[in-house]
Amino acid sequence: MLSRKVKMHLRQNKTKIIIGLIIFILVILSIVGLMSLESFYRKMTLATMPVQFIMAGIHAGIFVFMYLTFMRGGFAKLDKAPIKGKDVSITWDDVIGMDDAKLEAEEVVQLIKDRASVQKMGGSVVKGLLMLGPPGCGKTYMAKAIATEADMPFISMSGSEFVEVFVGVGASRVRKLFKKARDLAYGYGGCILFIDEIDAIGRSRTFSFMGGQETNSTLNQLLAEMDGLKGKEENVIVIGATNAQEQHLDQALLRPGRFDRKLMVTPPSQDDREKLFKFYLDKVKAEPDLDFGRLARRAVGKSPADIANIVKESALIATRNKKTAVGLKEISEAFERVDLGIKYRLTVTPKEKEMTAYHESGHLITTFLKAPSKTVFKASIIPRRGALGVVWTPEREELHSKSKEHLIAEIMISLGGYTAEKIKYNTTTTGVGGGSGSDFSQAMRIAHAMVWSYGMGGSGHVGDYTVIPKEQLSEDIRVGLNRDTNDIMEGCLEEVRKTLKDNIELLDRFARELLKREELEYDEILAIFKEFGHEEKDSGMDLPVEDRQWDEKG
Amino acid sequence: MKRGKLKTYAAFCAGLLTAGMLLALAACIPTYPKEKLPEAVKIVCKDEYGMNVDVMVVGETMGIYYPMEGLLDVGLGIKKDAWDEISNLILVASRVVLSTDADIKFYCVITQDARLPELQIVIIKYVDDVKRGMYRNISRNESFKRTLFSLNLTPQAKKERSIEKVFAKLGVEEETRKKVLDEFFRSPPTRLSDIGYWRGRFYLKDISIEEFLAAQMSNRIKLDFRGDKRLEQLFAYKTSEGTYISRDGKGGHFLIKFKITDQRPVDEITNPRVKKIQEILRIINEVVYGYKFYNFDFVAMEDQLENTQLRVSARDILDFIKKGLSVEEIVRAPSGYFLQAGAQ
Repeated sequence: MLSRKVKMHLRQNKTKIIIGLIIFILVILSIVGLMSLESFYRKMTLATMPVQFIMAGIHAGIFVFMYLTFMRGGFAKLDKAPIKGKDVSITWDDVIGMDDAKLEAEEVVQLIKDRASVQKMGGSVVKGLLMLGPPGCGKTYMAKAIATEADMPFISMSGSEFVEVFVGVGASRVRKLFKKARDLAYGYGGCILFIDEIDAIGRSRTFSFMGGQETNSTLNQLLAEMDGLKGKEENVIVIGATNAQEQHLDQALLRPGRFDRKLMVTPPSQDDREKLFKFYLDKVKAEPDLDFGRLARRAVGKSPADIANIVKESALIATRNKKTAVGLKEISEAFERVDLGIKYRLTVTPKEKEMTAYHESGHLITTFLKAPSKTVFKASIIPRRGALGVVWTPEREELHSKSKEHLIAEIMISLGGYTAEKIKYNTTTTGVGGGSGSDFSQAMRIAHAMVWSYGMGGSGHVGDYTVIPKEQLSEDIRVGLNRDTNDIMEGCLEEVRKTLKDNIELLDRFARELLKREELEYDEILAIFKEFGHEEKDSGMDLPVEDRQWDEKG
Repeated sequence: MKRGKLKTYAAFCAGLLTAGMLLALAACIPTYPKEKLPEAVKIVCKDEYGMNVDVMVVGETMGIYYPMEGLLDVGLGIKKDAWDEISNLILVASRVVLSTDADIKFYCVITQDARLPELQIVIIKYVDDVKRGMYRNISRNESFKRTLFSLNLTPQAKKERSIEKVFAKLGVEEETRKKVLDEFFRSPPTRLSDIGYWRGRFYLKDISIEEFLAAQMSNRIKLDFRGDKRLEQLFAYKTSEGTYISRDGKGGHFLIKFKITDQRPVDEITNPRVKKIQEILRIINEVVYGYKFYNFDFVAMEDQLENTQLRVSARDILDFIKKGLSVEEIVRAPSGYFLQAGAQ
């Protein structure tokens, strides 16, 4: 192993060694040359040496500048220092949740370690592992844990680091990266190459004359290098991570022999979230009686990064409030800040404020009455994130598929604000549209998807019509689909109008309360609904009632 | 900075420092140690140019003697081949004195025609001028002007021939002749002009900067009055001689003797004699400034044709160009010296 390491170092530092030797020989020759001169000329040469050094430096600077500017050599430089597996020091125990993914990863590590025995048995070795999943779910963390457990050098790069405006630079970087990885694998028995955000280079290739050549050439090189490993002894494992969906990646990259294993890193489950809260709250000074299960239930759909952020934010709030430990109140405030954004004071006219109050009340009532899977935690007319008001309605439990009714309810929630304005003032504001996250765009997107993708339209068009280019769809189908979309929108609008008209007093009450208090909490909202004879509907999910209350009494 | 990179840089710097120290050490060792200086010159001349030379060091002056066949042609001019050999001798002398730890300030190259040793060529160079020439600190022309070159009768030969004539008349025996010559007539020279080589013996003195400068002033007067076309038309140079008269080691003065006649008026206004003195003063000024030599009291100029001595103080010599002083202002001359104008 020692000789292999020496050889590896020689291979890795070949250029440095050659340059060092050349310099050494030149110095010796200089000394010999100087000694052959008479002492006066020797002194004269030495006296001029500083100037010569400066001149050489200037010349070298000009050369490097010219080289980098015109020949691009420097852009392809890859300055990635490998990290030894044990130096990463993130173990399986540090990876919280993701039990299924962890199991698979452990298996992969075992395969990496037992490469020789796998090969002896005639099995094919693992060359690549692709981790897919939404952002902030711990893909990078998992990759680090794999490096630690496998105890191998770990080179981490981001896909975007390969991307350059010059064609061929990315490919050159891929070559250099793999060369380095092979050298390290030769010396240490294996090397893990982690390419984060691999979609930057791994997205489906485009074969057009207009651009894309650089990405194509980078991906081609990556494919060739990953395939190239076949003929080599070196144990180089490529781990790719991406937030993009699998279908957006190039098929050649996904085929067995390249990324043999695919690891789905999903958002954490209830148990995982509980563990995550415990893990992060252990790192800050928190009150001892915190119920992690309750916090986890609050954090439906939150990624580990979100949870870390909530805990960090709550610690900051606790410091600001001069508290010695993080309590439920701070965590609650942190949740709100993360989900809703920071409040800011914007001067609005009384009329605007009133219309906002009715708008948010519309959302609130529609959510409460039409979407039992959601909880109305808060309604506010304090401006945040560019909106004049907000109703906070998180899901009670994570949903992996949504029913038609659920989607209809979401459309109705989106239309609640518009309808309330229309009923009360017989006019509407721009608060309903104007962006991708606006009420109308959300409603339209859902309605469109229901009809065009999920076969939920009324005229019987079933199938995902978005896969067919629009020009290939008949006019009838297009008209029919658009009519279905419109029908859904109109149906929802009608239902919301009816609901709000039937509850006009409730709408007025909520608007008044909002104008008076600016913010309504869950229990206040529930109390008003109760006053008007509305009880909270059971969503059919097992959720303790106290979890919906955010005050410390719980 | 990462530890690996730090190590690499440290190793590189250490290597560079070692190489630098080795080079500096190499530069410190003189090529020609002072103990072996004469031998070194002989070896270099023999090995590189096949010349058998004789070398002597007196104080801070090194003398090299080289007799050659056919130094002079029939018109007493120096042959081209002889010039080449003289150039080689100068080159060797320069190389050796520059690369030795011996404190050599002047060197003089003496050559004689083997057939006519009564005639000699003496070249005297100041080592500092050689260095400055190498560093291109002075021009080639200036370097040439700073070299003392003379073709003259060998002074010792002249002396011994006269004595021998006397001995012959008196019928003194050979042995006695030799003894008397050795005792009374073969002493080291006291003047720069007496430097030479005769019958296997060097007549060399330790040259001082003062006498070298005095000789150089005279040499430059000759070169300028003969070489400058304008001056050549105005004046006829005959002789000049420069000496330094020391005042018991506590300063002294330069004495420049010259014979230069005025040939034609300079113009309607300028007095030719003023012009002549002005040119001589300019040359003296150049020399003292060129060597930063300010340790003298005055300069005496002896117009041998007029049998008149003129004096200029050291301060006036130094300020002459800088302050644009006029000749009449600074030169102490007998009344009427500058009034007499026109060709003589």
